[in-house]
Amino acid sequence: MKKTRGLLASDRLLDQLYFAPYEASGWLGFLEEMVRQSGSRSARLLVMNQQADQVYSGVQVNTDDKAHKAFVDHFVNLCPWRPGLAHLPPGKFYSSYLDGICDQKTFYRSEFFNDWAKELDIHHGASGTVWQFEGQTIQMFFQRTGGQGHFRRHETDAFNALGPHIRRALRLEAILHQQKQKQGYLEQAGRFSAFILLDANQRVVHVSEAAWRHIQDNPHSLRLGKRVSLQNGEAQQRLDFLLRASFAGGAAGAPVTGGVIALPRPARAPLLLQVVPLHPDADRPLMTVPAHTAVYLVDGDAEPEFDTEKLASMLGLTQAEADVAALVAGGQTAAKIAAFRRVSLHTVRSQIKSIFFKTEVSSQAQLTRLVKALPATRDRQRGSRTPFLS
Amino acid sequence: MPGESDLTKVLDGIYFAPHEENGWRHCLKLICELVGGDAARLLRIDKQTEQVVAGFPSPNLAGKAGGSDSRHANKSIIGARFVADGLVVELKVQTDCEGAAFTPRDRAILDELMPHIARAVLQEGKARVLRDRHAAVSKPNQGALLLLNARQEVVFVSTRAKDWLSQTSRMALKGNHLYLSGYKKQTEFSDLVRYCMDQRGSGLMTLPEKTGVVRLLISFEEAGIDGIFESNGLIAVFILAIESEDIDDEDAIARWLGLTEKESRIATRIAQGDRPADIATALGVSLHTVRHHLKNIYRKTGTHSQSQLTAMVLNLPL
Repeated sequence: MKKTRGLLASDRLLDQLYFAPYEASGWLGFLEEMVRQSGSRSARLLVMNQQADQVYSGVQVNTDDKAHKAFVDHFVNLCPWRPGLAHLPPGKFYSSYLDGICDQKTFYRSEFFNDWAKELDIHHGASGTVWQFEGQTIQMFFQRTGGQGHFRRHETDAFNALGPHIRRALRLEAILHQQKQKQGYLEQAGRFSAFILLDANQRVVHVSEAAWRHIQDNPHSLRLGKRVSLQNGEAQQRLDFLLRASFAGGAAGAPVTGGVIALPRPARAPLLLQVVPLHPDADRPLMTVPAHTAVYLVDGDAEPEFDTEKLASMLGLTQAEADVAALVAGGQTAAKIAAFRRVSLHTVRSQIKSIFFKTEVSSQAQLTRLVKALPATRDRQRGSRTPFLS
Repeated sequence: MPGESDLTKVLDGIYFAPHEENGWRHCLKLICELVGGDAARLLRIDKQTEQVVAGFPSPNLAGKAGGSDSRHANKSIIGARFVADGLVVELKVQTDCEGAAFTPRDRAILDELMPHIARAVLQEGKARVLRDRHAAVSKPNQGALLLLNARQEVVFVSTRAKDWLSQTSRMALKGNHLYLSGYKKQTEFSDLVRYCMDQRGSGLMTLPEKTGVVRLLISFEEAGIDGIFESNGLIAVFILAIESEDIDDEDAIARWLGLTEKESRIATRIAQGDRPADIATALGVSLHTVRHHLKNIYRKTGTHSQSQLTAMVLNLPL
């Protein structure tokens, strides 16, 4: 037990580490704390390929973006400390100075030092392969200036004592990564992914991207603060009623099915709100359930925007056929499609026939279902990834 | 002194508890083993009222009768408490063995474990939001959809896909892998999945079923998320059984749009592309009646045309 209480075992550091997988910039916070507590100049955590000669992604502190990019793109494999990492057993941290990786004279003569490290005042390092996972190698690097001196034995020992914790946090990151990846897909590309989650006090816990779009499109129908507020008084009353009912239901043991609220919109079909109580698994009562209710948003007359190129390639249709198929799926009649596309009704009919033949369906409804089941809706402004390496 | 590996096991148990089935029970069992206890209890306590908000017994404690506390007067109990950030967590370990007592070292171990336990409890709160979000996307009909990760392991099965898998003999889910009946189909499937993964593309394959051909649309899906690991993307497998894909849930349509049974039947048919005249013939009523119902449907749904109504019905999460 005492082993974990080394130089780097403050609760604050472990808090940073173990919350890193759960927070947006958690790993950055952890590295900052590490730099502070270990008296380093800078630090980086790199996710690399199996051979660890190519960087996929990473987090770093105290190196400016340009220098970091130069390191990742070019200098990473020139670093005279790296062969040591490749040959010494993984899972441990090594001091560049003490562990016979590269003597200081050779280091100062290296291209790595003269073209990169010198300017940054990097003279010493401690590094280790912390984890290998599904063809990815994760390495950590700490650097010191000439003035800070080399990493001493008791300091690499402290890094090593922290090693199991870092590995565990990375495993948590991997678990959450898997879950977030799945969730991200379902929330972005799922068929009904516009929803708001509310807690027992009717406060907003989560808003999916698609729901945000509905809210922004309908500022006169509903607003989102700490709670959902509807501009229409009657609708608000009904929402309050449904929300109260879904919380009361759990206690009474009666199944609550929720209900639908139509928000009237001038000159448009109403926006529909469906209130559905969530019944999360009851076997984990240690923390209060964050979300009690989901409110789904359905835009009554939203015209689905299909990616017709994708549709064409998926179903083996010509571009014109894919365009027509998308219009059919959008609820348009053949006559309207003809007018819209400025072709004869006869042309549209024969295109539809050809689509039916190719996709083996026999009615417009079947075609609509097929097209809607495909992941061929246009890539709406998906939340762009904020890469650590820019 | 507990060995390094025992400690690693317990800490693993603690930190992975929020992510595993019966994770906390398993974790309590490990703690019992570490300090030589027979049963353990983990409690979350309300700061103000000192009331237990929630708790977890270890498996051995759960198996016992409720009154065990009073019967075993000679049992020895040790506990540890953690208070921070509005969270009060208490861990209690007991031994039923006569004469057995916990040592100060055991108590020190529990004290040492408490910050880790508290951290994991707080993390469970965060993990829960993700689980609830997942529950929210799993509830509505996502179509018959399976999601596979880069290792071809199934990570999501929609309700419809589950239904279909339970009926078909063509495909089965064993563990977290998909198996197709017939060597040729299995190979075709695996090759197609690999192809889609490598090329970031999509492709179709068919499965002959008694009720007609079922098509599998396999498609690479980018899943851009923040995180330090590379996102390898997902493979979506859409099961397209066109024959059964007709709109059949008139009840649900009625519920969603507040329509009567007759109205929802007409709305359904309009959405399927039928004209009012066809509907009148099919239902054996006059065209006038159909138009009358349609007018009521427009009024109730706030729509103004057949195509608007169609879009609305098709937009419903049925």
